[in-house]
Amino acid sequence: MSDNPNHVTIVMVEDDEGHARLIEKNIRRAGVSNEIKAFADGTSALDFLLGTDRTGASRKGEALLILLDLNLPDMTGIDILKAVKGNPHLRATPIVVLTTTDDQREIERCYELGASVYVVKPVNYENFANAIRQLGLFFSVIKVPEAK
Amino acid sequence: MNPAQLRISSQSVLLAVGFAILTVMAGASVWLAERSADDTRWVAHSLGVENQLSLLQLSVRRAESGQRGYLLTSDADYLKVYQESVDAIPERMAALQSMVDDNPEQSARVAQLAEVVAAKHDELLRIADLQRQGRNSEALAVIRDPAGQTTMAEFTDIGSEMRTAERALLADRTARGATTSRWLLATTLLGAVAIMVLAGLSILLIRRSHFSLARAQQELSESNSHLEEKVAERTSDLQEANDELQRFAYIVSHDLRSPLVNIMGFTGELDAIRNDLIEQDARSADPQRSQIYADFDEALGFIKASISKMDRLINAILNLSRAGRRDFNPQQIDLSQALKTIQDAVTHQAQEADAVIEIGPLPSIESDRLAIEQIFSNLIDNAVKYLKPGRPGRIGVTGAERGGFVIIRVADNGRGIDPTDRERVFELFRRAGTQDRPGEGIGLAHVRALVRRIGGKIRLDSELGEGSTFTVILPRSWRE
Repeated sequence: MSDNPNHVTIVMVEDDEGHARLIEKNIRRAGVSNEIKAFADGTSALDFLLGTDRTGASRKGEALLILLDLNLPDMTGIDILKAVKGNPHLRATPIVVLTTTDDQREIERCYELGASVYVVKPVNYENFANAIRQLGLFFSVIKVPEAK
Repeated sequence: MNPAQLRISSQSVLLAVGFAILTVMAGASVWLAERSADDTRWVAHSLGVENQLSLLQLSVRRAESGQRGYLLTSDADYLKVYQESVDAIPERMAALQSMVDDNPEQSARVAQLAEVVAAKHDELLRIADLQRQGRNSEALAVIRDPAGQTTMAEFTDIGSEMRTAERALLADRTARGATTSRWLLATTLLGAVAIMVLAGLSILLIRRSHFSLARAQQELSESNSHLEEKVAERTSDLQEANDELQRFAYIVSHDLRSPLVNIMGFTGELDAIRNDLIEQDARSADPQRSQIYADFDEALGFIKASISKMDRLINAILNLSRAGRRDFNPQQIDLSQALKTIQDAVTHQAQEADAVIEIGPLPSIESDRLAIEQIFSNLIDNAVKYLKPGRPGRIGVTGAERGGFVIIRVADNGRGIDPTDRERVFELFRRAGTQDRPGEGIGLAHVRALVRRIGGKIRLDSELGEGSTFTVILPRSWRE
């Protein structure tokens, strides 16, 4: 039942363990109980998302939500963004870009490439928790359409 | 002495030598011409002496022949001839004497001649006397006397001697005249040749200096273009270094944020854990426990404050590096209007601080509007922020135009800046004076970076406790 938000799998691509843990904690704190699959580098994330053959056929019809960090050790988040948005099966998957960069040009570029939301990781704990909580809210109400 | 100076001095030497030669030549010519005229006069003089001698001889001969003719024919005509000639003798004798005054030899001869002539004159007079008395035979006797012949022969001898001497003089003088003429010609020719040689040398020197000038010009233009290349090279090196620095600042500040997010995030987690613990411990009112929690809170507080501060600093560096990479958009800006807008924006703060902002007439400028606004709004913000407590603030903005530059002064009567801090206040994260106002020490660093990037300069004059004046000098027109 893809219409049920609880069946949406959250794919988190984040190389910083601490960030990953904080994101997860805050998502949970916000009351989101969806399965979270964490990847610490771009290659393993792409292996999961598009399969080792990079066709995306393996994830066809799955409801996914991607949390994407732009600074990855083996590639940039932009590469993953492009690959996902360029794949016929995953094109409609919402992508939340989570990064420390608040560079205007980079933000614009991400939106142009099809990112749904761009969240700057704030240092201030309160703000950060709020942002993640809002994301949680966003996850719980969002309806992720199944890619046909 | 360098070659150019050498050329110039050798040219003036040539010119001077040319003038000297011309002067000497002119002098020599004048002198030689004078001498030539003198020689001619002397030649004429010699001829005159000869002539005078002939005239004297003629007179004596005519007197003698006239007397004899009269004695033979008693014709009165002969007597007349005699009388005229005999009267002319003393006069001609005197003329001759005066003519040879200059020549002692000839004078001596003339004196001799004068004696002879006097004797002859006496004889003639005696014969004429005898004749008048009708004693013709006696007169004839006198004539027949060989003494008369001797006198005449003597006269002829002295005359020819004189003539010979005068001829010699004439020849001598003519020769001298010819020599003088030759000298004159030689001098003229020599002078002409010298002038031609000098002219040739001058032309040679001028040509050479012209060539070296042309070569120097070429070298100069070559080194100029070389210099331009070098400047372009250095500029691009500097640009590269600057870009590198900007990238560095950006990457460092960006990467520093990543661990900071963790520190802050987990500090928050600790805070949450503490809250949980307090909740669990709420019932126990152990004073030792509450002391532990207080210490915990204090530690967390310092950590949070430090993280916030670090975050602000990193953001400041990020903003600075971003400002450094921003492309400018030059346009015509009416500074009076721009400053008025800034003044309006700080009206509230100014009123609170009891400060008056006065903006004088300002020129317009071609520059980047955002940069200009940031520069002056920072300066005016600072002026309002750092007033001297208890003294009504007066902030004045005045402008002037000098050459291709616009000079804007932002002056206040605030707390002022210590001379030792005048350079420091422009440095990143550095602040001066009492730290009683919030701030990171970024404003002036930003202002200076911006002023420099739009091609200007900023200067600070200040007296502690009296006020500060920031002078911003910007190019009137935009320069890339």
